[in-house]
Amino acid sequence: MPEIKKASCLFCSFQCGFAMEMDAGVPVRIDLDTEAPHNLGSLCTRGHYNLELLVHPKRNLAATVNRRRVPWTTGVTKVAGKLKEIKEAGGGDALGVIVGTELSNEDYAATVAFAAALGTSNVAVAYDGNDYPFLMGGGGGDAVASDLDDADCFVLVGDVFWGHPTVAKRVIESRYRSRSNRIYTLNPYRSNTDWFADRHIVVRPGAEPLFLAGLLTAMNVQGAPKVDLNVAATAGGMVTEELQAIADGLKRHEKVVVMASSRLGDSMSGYLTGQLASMLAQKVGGKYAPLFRGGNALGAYNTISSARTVPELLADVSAEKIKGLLVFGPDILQLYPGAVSTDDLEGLELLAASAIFENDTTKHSDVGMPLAVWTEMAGSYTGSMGVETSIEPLTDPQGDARAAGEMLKDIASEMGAALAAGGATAAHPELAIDASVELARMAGQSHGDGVVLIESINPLHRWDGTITGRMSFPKIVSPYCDIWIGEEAAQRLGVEAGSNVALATERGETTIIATVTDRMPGGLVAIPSYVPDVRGLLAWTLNSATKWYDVAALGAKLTPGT
Amino acid sequence: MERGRQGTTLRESWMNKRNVLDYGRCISCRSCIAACYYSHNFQDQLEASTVVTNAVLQMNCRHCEQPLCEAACPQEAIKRRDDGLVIRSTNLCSGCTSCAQACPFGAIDLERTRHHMPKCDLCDWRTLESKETMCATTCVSGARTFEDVSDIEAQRGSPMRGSRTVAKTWRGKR
Repeated sequence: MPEIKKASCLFCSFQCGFAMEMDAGVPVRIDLDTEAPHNLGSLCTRGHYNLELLVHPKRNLAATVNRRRVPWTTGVTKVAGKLKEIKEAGGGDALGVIVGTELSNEDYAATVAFAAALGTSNVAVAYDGNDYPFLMGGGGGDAVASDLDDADCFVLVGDVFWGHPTVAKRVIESRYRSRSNRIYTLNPYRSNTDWFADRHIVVRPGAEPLFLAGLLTAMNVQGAPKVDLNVAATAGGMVTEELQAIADGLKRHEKVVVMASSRLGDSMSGYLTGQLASMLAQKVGGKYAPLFRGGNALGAYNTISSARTVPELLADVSAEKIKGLLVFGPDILQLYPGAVSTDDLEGLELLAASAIFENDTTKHSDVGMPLAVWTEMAGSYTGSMGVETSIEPLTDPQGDARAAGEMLKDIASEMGAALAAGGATAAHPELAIDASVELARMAGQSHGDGVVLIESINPLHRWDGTITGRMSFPKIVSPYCDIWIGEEAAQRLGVEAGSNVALATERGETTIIATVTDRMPGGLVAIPSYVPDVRGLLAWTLNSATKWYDVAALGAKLTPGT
Repeated sequence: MERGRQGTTLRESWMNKRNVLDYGRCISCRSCIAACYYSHNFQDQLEASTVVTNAVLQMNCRHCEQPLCEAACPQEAIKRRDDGLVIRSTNLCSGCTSCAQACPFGAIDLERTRHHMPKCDLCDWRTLESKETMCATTCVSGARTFEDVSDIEAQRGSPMRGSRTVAKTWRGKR
């Protein structure tokens, strides 16, 4: 009789529950957990990767020093020795720690304690996309999954169904429960989410906050930034009367849920979208439900202060202020391409990188440490929409792989330091942002004729590609990446459907297959940002106000290829 | 009486169940295909195409009453069971693709052949335990369901026979 064990998925912040069929302690098949309270048994494509992730033959299994396999204790001794050396020479602030968003709350608590033991304030979370500005703007939200069942109106910002497919069933069921129920979507292009919308607001890319502020202004909400209704309506591709009608319509509903999906792009737009979406939900007496790309982004945010952010830490690495860097989880070279160079990483006295698979960052590391998958270690996780997850390990970690918290304890012990018990709540410094000024700036923007970054999220893939790039399923059903071009832009550029196009930016050039689609209005083009080659062409510039990256395809040109 | 993997008896209720596809609710996330792939030892059994932009048309095996794939198979690897399920024996299949070419619904994949042809088995290890098929259970939008024939007939307003897979386009997003 096979044993069925329950676990949770950490590929996004909704943290879907699933079950695993085990045969003599070996995971053999995903079994869907229809008792999981928030996803009710549904699982998206990424959720099914959890099986392959556990049994993948190319996992990192052993510690490495200078790319040679070594026993675990040798790796720990090397890291501890170097950390001591750097600290004695340059003080605690010559050291830095970066953690990913798929670690457990216990790992984050251990990271804070480890940084305190090292005497450094350089601890930062490698949030993906605009997760960080979203969190700073709107916080973790107050909606819970069951709120979706009795909601009578949804405002969906971004391509919610594609980024977080498992919320789709509840939203669609609620919409069709009553004829008067409504779904409003804000999205620059016609996505599968918008297919279910009663009103798809084709907003100008990055101008989502402007339209949300327009709704708040039309509702005459006290304390909300005021904007010109004509400008806000134009940003939403409609006339002022329509915007007013939508605002009036929202006020008539009793249970509104405002859901926003984090994505790449302008960090200020992400921050204000979070802030204004949260405010809109509050003012109509509804609930705010942000959905993040990082599985435990909310747990990291609740535990680790954002006094220092990854862009600041990586700038310090480039400026040679940080000499020793520990990375747990993310592939920072692929996650933020161009933000830090390989030469900068090579120039560090110590780069210790821990990851599930070998990636670009681990290739340049002095010490590599195998990271366990979330289903191999016990831990608690904080999801969005009130989802609290506690995972019991399905199997023992493969090889020498282990949780980040355990590694930090081993290193601290080798250094002769003890980690204090965690549990403190992180404090986040206020960002000095004047919403009115930023909205006025957005009002003056237009996307013109150039290539505008619109992220075509693909549920088969996930951010830096180091995990989904290793999975067999996406390679079978989506063997090539494509760029989505609107019919108007394709005609203007002379691009034929299915042909190659050359995408060139200030950072380089790559060739992609073109999909000509009526989903992209006007001259818009959507770039598959999950593909590392394409991601590397984007400019990642630090926004001093949000302390996060603004991502754009600067100077992008498309030309028909061969 | 046929017995399942864990010795459970084949239930009458399962015999009357059908895989129902409501294309109006599909968000083309492909989770059904992923579920099929990972639950069948990393082999696709569910063929799909995207002839429209907003939905993935999953071309499930219909488990025909007179299967052409069974007639075309030179190895006699494909058999129609008494309960109506058309199954393929992995050991007997030689991967000759005759069944894929014979199938009038394109439900057997010609391109992704490994050593033998993938073929929908209606997740018999689950259905014998009175669970729904993987593709129906995993569906994130409610487009795929595993419904009783009487319920389907009540919605259609007309009797149905034969096929174990029903395409439903009369409900959902218009």
